[in-house]
Amino acid sequence: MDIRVEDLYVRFATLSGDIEAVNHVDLTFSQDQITGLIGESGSGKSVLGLTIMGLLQSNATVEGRIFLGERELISLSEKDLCAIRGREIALVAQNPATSLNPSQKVGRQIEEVFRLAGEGKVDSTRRTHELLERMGFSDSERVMHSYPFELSGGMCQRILTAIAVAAHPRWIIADEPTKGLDAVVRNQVYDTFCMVKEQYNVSLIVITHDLLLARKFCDQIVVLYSGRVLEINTAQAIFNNPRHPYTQGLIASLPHLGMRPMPGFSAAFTDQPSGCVFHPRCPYIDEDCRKIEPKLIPVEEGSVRCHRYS
Amino acid sequence: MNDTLRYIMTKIFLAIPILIGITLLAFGLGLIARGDPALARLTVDPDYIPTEEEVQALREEMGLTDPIFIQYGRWISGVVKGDLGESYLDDKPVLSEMLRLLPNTLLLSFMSLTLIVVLGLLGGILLVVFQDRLFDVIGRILSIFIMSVPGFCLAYFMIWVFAQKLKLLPTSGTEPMTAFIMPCLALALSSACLVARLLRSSILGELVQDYALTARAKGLRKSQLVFRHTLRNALTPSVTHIANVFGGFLGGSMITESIFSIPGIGTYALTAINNRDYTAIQGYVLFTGFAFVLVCLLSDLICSYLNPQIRLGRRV
Repeated sequence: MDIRVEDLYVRFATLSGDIEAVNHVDLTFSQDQITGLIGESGSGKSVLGLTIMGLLQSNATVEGRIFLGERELISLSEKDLCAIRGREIALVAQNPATSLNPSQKVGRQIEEVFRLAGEGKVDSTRRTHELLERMGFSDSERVMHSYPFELSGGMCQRILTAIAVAAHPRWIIADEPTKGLDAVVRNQVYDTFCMVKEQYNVSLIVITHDLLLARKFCDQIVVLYSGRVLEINTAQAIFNNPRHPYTQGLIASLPHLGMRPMPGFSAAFTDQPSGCVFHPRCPYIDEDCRKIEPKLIPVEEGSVRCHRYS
Repeated sequence: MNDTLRYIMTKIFLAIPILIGITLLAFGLGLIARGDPALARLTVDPDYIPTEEEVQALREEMGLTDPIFIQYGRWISGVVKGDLGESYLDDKPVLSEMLRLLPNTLLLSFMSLTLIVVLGLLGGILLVVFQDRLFDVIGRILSIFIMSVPGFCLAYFMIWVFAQKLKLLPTSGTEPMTAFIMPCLALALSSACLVARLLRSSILGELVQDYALTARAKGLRKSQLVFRHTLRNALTPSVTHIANVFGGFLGGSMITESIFSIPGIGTYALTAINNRDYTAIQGYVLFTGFAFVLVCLLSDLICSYLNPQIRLGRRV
């Protein structure tokens, strides 16, 4: 079941003005594929993920449509959304250290998913044990009776993943799964996700600014900037043949490719540039770029939002 | 479990110096404020003017001429044996007088505590569940209103309504049991409102935490989220506040007890202060101090139960 996002627009009302976090995004996340959402902080990638699950705070205005198969999610009631969350689309939240309830043992937090799916107490406990072992915990008994603050960041990350897969959802949205973890643990996260993908037959949306993880793990990559999609392509094409100047800049900033930083900063949300949002930082700037906002143009197997390809 | 036990022992151990400090304070209070207890005692009858010799003799008899630490030692050894001394005024033992009045204060305190806990928790949770809807808005305005009315005004207002107009409740005394309803309301209502508001804001604070997002992503409804996850984490400030208020109640509420003529610890202390009855005041300060420390200790233990990070904190 694909997730289809049509003309999605998300705005936050804040004291310093309205923030347009997601700006008319059209995207299809294909079933059985791993889609990576990449972009720098504030590009709207986390907001996009939370919007799909209907988990935004109350100061957000959402327009547009999100389809899960035939069902449209934005118009669903909170009650119907609760039935979809966890069971059809699950979330691996960012910040593993703070994303588990500090005053509840982790066993109970995993069991809760089974209980919500209607299983009995004994079955839930048994399945939690199995799940923890599958997640690579050799001493599942001890882990179940630990509080989150007694576990390491990498362990909490695996617990979060366990919570996400527990109810066998079709989709998992992983929000910055490698953020704040060291290289060894990042590799563990990668291995865990590969295992999850294989054993649970789940489709994934991985939100990350870890480009190397995206390249290793994702089939398709979406590049976001200031709430807009700038480029969509297969992971291979994005890294071997980046088309958009922003994507080119991102790839060139990778450590093993010379670590050349991109000049400038992304524009403030309350003061967006006219024309192409990227034009103030673009090395190929043209007169059109300042005035006309480019459309998403199909180029070979992907598409790119840049006047140079029109 | 071991860590938990160690935490509890540490807390109890740390309470001991505070308790000793309270005995010093209670005793010192008598010393500092001492007009002259001997003189005061001899002039209970205002028509009698004692001679200087009589006063001096009584001072020696009462041990007031001994060095201070001997007086403290004598007093504390009595305290340990359960003897708080006799009232300067009427020679009745302070402890047995307080014990005689204690049941009324205890009853009033526990009734008020129950009211605060029930109304405060229920109110706080309901305000969150109906957040930004009519119930929440009206509840918040009403609670501010009740909180800003002083307890004694509320007391007189209730007497006017329930005793004089509706003739439902007795105005004063301790019999029948319904006589405790109005004092309890006068004592507890504003604190209950405060707890409800405090709890509301701490639950709302917890609802935007990262772990609440994980819980919502599991498919929990808001009420389930509040009860299963955020309530426990949000309770700590309310527990601490309730403990402070309850500790105060145990020391007797002088105003409420006077208005409703309830013979309790508060009125006892009030009489003692008016008569400069220092042994009684010392006994009172000692009692309220101990009660307060124990209640705070209990609230610390409850908080550590609610938040395991407090008791297992070494590994954070």
